[in-house]
Amino acid sequence: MISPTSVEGFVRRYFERRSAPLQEEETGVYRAILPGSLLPAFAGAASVRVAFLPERMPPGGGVELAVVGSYLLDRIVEDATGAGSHSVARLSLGDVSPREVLEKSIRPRNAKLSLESATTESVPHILFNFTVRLTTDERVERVESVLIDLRTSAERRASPVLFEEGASLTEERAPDWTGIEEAYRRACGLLEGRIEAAVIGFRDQAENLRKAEVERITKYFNDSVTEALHSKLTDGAAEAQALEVERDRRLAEAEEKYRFVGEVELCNVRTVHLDVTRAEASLSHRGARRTVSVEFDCSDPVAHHLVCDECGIPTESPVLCFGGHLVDPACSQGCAFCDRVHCRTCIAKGMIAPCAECARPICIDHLEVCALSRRGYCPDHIHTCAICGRTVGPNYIARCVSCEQPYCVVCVAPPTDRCATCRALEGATTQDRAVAAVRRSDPGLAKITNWRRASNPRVTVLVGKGLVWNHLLVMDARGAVVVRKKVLGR
Amino acid sequence: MSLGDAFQGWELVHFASKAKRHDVLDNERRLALYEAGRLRMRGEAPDVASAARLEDLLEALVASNLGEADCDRGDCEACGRLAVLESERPASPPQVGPERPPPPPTTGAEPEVLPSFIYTPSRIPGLRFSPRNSEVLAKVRDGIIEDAADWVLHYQALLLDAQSGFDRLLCIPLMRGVRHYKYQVDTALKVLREMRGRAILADEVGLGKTIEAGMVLKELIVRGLARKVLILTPASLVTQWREEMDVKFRLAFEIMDEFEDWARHEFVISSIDTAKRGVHKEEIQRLSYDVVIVDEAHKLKNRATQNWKLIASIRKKYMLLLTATPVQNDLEELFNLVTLLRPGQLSSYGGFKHRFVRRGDRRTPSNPRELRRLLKEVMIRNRRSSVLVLPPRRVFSADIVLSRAERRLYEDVTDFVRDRYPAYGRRSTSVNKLSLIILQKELGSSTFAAAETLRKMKESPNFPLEDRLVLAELHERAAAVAENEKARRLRQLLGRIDDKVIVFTQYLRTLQHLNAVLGADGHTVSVFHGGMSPWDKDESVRSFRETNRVFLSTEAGGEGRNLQFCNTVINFDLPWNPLKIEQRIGRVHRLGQTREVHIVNLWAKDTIEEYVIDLLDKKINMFQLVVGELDLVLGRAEEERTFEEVLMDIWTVKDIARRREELQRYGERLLAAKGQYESMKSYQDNLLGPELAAEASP
Repeated sequence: MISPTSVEGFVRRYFERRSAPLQEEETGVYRAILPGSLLPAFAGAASVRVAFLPERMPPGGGVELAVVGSYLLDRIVEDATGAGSHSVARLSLGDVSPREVLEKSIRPRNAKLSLESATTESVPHILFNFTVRLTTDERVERVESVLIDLRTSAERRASPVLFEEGASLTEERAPDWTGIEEAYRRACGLLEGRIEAAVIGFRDQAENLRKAEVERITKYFNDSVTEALHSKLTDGAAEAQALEVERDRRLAEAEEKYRFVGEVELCNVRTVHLDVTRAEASLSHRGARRTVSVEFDCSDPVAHHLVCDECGIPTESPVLCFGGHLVDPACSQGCAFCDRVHCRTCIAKGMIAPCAECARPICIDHLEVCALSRRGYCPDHIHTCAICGRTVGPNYIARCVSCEQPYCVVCVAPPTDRCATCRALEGATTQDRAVAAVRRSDPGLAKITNWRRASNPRVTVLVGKGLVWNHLLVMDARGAVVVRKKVLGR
Repeated sequence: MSLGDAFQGWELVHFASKAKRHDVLDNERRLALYEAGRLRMRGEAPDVASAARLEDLLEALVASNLGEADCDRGDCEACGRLAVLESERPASPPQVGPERPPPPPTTGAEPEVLPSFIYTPSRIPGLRFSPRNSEVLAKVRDGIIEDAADWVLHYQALLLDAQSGFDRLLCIPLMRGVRHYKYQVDTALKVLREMRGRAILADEVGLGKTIEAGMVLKELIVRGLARKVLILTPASLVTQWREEMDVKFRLAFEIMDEFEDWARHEFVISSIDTAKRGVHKEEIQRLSYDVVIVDEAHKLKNRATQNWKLIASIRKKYMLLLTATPVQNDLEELFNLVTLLRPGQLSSYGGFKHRFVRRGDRRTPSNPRELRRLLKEVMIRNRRSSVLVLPPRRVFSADIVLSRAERRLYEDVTDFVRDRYPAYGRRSTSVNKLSLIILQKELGSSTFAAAETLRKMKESPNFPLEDRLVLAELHERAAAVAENEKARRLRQLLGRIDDKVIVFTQYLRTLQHLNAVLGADGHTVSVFHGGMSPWDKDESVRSFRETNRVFLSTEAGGEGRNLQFCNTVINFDLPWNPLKIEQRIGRVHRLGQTREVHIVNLWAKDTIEEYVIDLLDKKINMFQLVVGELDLVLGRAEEERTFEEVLMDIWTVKDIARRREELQRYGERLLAAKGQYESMKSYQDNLLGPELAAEASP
């Protein structure tokens, strides 16, 4: 887009192009000696003096100001738009490697990107430059460009490089423009969609103003007519009639003032031969693999973002799901315990489920099911009963009142609420390894000779029966005492 | 002219393309034709062989009747000319197409649309794709390729030409020699954005309503929203408006002269008095205007007047009503003015009275806040106190006693003037009468100024012989006066002032004398007068700003030139037109002035200048009025004659007692006018309040 400050650059280029380069005569004032071809555009003047800043205008006159809206710029614009309706350009990919383009454009979150193959061909495109002019009681103009692929009639983003002179091409042969009609209609349709909201907004604003004005005028004149008819004037009826005529005239004036006029003018066209590269790339991650096709043109060597398989929205950093789906991070979920990721579709199939306790997402590799409730738990919230080997969730764990160890509710039976291990205590001699060990370690226990013992894969429970006190000791697999208590013996 | 020269490059390319469609030339010859066209489009001359080849190719086309063949450009001028060439050849059987095409249609306003390039919008009703689009598309399809540099220029021209909404003013850089202020830009933006081009510009006097109106107008024109414009002003301001629009905005308005001018010119200025006359009124009502500007719109305060009815009946899209006094006597005036702009804004007349007018009091609104809210939608009133804060002025009067020779000459010339003036009738346009007025004025400035006029008068056949004899004697005496008491006093004054000083005089001869004496005193002087080129004027202002101490000027300092770095003005003589005095003061007492402004009036005792000082300074205290107010005061004095005419009429009364009596009477009228003005101003300020200022638009 050209900025307002570029007027000077534009004017200079114009005069250079017309073989009349601007020569500085004094600070900020330039002269162009006009060739014969410019005489009609400049009313036969032999030369023109130009300034770009109002403060540079000498008081004596004779210098024309080149700013938006000035007479000089209007003439230049008129002359410049009289030529250059159609040009041809060719842009090639040059040294740009498809791999680099891919790596720059697609940055997968969890997958490795590999280029499988790439083919580049020159594809004809048509670049349509339209001026959209909207008028009510104000006027708005905008320039819109639409680039159409002549092979597919698809729209492609019109990169700024397409509007540069450097892309020019001296064609050695006349290209074939057989698809121009269809491309034009396609471009018109796309343009219409692009400007629809702005045009409707502009028109609605004028329509609201028109309605308000019509309402105001109608009310004023109708009230005035009533007042005239009820006045003491002798010619009240004539006055009322005149007011009615005036009302109709004013209403017509308001209609005309706010009448919407929208016009689209095709101003110029450029045929652009663009190198279009079609590449096959694969994304892989922990056995999952997905092949994608991407296309980009040399004017804008960036592969468009891949589209999420779930939501259809282009994504900058796609995620490769274990099911082979390519999705936006927002449409995926990873396991809290590993790097496995799944899309919504896979999640719906149960590839990832929340822990029933903490709700963290758990992949099927890490999900444990409670044998009693059939609910899924993460490894942090599942418990394996040391007695029966069942995996149970936190709600199905009970603690033995005797040894104080947690087991599944099945193994800790009411009414005594003792675990199956404590219930299975049997007599043990002082030579029993576990008994001997505790007796050695504690002289107080060495006196006790009456021992009972029971074990499960996690702990060993010993009860030493004294005269008054019974001593209960729970030892882990390494022989360390994890629970020790003294209870009144019976 | 050879056949090859008859066609432009693109036309040759078009023939090559058409030849392909109709299979007229073989491929090799078609490409040769195409290349010849391309070469010509680039402006390159073909060599002799290529030129001859082109002749052959075109001969072949003529022979094949390609011009007559169906062309999808419709009314194709190139094919038409080719067909003419074909018709001039011996008849040959048509070789192209089974049927002869119909004759090309006559050229209309819009080009014929090629059916294959028609697009009908499906989503936006009312949007139209220009029929001209097919012209561009046909060029593409025909393979007409132009230079990339031209294409890029074309595209950039489109971008420059595309205008956005009223988010900024495009007209600002286009204004010439105008200092514009933020409140004026705010006003223009508010008129365009919020008021949609219909507004009452009611700034206090001297704030530049004309500039604001010009900005709005120029903006509408630049954006292509206004083509036909009518400015209606009082007759006395027609020329001024035309000059301001021309000089400041480069808008060439025609002053309405003949009946045909209404339709003939797009930009017309007329007095309201002319416009409301029979046939003119009918013609104006028949036409439709994009913009109508009415200056001094307080003259539209009465709905029953022809003025009001004329403006109401004009068909217009945008309208600006300019007045510093939107309401003077009662609220009905306000209703009438607003209704002219937006009927119904203040309801119907009955509704307005019911809502806003108290019974028995037509001046005070019953609901002032609501009234101001409604006015805010149509009226902008910037107040001096909120947009221009200027330092005070101090006025010094230096009365001077003329030397004996000057006094005797003054009295004798005055006797001559008093004696002859009534004899030339009441019309001041009479040449002799005008000469007498000038003579009397010049004598108030210096004998050097008067001597030249006396010389011309004594030689003028307009005066009778006996008068010329008197004039010759007076001339001799004037030429003999060497001293000048005012100049002596000026030199004394300059000796006491350390700062830069602007000295105004009306006459070049006086200026030359002062330049000589001040230069002799060692003062550095910059001279500024109407006879200088713009370059010299610029240089003069620059030297005064940078080095010189005295700025000696005949004009009112040249509008648009900033002299506010100086704060002392000496009026070496006093113009009889008070507005000129006001303009002189305005050169330094304006935005940017930071110091107290000193105004020194030099006037000679027992001369007409004493009358001027008496009326303007002592009676109405004009040197303390803000710029623009004086006109409003004088306008209320119910006097058809100009101040100058009144002054001269009083001065030429021979009986001294009667003369003093008339002076006294006129002074009282001016005083009453000033009182009325102040009363009206106070009423207006109270009624309209500060809310109507154009604060920055959101």
